Amino acid sequence: MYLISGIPRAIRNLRRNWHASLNSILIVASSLALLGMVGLLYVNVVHISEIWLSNTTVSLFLKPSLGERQRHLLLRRVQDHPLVARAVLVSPEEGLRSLAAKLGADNGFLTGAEKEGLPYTIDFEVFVDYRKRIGSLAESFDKLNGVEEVVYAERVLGKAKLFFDLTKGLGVFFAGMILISFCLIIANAARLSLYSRRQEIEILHLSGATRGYIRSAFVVEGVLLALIGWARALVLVWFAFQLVIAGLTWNDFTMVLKQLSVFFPWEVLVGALLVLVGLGALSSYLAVNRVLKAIEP
Amino acid sequence: MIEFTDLTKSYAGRLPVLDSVTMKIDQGEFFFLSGVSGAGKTTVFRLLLMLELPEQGNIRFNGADILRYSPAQRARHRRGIGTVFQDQDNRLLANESIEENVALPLRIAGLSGRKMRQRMGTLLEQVGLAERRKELVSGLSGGEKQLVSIARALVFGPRVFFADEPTGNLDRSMAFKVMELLRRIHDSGSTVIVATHDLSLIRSFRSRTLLIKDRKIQEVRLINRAETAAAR
Repeated sequence: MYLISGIPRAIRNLRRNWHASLNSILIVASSLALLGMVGLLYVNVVHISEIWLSNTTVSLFLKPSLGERQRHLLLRRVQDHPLVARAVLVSPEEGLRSLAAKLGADNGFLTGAEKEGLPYTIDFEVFVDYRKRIGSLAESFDKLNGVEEVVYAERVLGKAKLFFDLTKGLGVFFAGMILISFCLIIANAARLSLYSRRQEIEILHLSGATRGYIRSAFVVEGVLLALIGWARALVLVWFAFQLVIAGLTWNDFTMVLKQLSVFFPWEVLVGALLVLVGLGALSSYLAVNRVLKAIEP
Repeated sequence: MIEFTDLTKSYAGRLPVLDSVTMKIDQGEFFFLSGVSGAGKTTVFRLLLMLELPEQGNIRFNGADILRYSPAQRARHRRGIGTVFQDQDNRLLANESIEENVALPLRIAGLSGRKMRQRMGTLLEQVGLAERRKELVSGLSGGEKQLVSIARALVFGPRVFFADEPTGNLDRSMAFKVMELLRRIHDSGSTVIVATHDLSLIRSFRSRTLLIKDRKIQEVRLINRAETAAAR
């Protein structure tokens, strides 16, 4: 009940102290926009790596010295494995054609490429249910006589592990720092607002207001600051995302990134809003409670 | 009704304002609390309103030990006491209308709509400001602000009414109007306590008077010039 009665008082207070309120909103929005951009980078790294990892194809690069019989024996061995759904032997010519098809318009540099430069490969797909065992399966095939190298998405991603770990670590660090500063900004805004209205607080005390009644307006103010800050940050991050996406036209790789890039899913946005509103309310509550206890014995 | 027992109150780094003070006020009394500026008259009010706590002693209000009250009980306790202070500029919401100021305690108590408007209307009629209810408080004179404060203090029909230097900054006719209002409040059954250092005002009322002097409270009768001079 106090919170409902606090809404008009909080809006009136924000309007009355609009200069200080605007400052707080801008600082909160900037911090959250920074957090949003780091978060969006992380979301996209995870999203793109997941798409890559969902590929269940493994390629066995065969040694050039293998004869046709040995290649077919190896193919049969792979096909007979219970985890393998489908396996094909790909000749250098087929490999070249397939690569040219994948590159599309940019396949010019393949002109004159020697088919002898490519090895025979056995490409196979693992049953989707067993995709978690793709690593151990690949390792066991790697030990087979006649196999030069095994290539699969997880191994390629493994090489980029440092980048992912760094992105994740930085993301967590930034998120922590920005959320702490968010709480401090909201708490400070509530404290300043309360100090600037000490006389009004005394009038409320004299008029029989409980701490809960006085506190409610400040808690609602904290929630409103978080809400407006979140909305402004969302707009900023969305525009920044559109700008970056529009610029990803340098080459095929960036074009693929452009195709695969995603904005925050709505669940994440709603979750972030709820967390920020909760933190805003809690920060104001704690800050105001402390001052009120000091004002009223 | 109100009892101070062995009460001591001091502010940081200063001598006690009140030192082992004991006093008793009965229901329905109209009495003055007098003393020079800084003697501790406002402190007595603030202690009774639980806006300050004493270092030692007891305060009983209607038999209850109010020093044991929880914050919520203190808030309810304050609703039963009407208060008017001298510096109305700091005690009213200057940028709000007269009716908003009077409605404040009602809103806090959770009242709204027709009941609130009825109560507000009655009180503003009583102090003669019904026609000007929409005016901002910042545009009122000192005396008019005092009337708004009185209307607000009467919202819950308080059993005790504190007026701290209620006529301090007012001209003679407005001071008379305010004192008349206080007399009417007393006639309706409330205990009225007026803090003032205006001895002529005290003499004109011939009511019981408690004098704060040298950190102690003593009962005096300020009838003649000799007693008045002694009190000074």
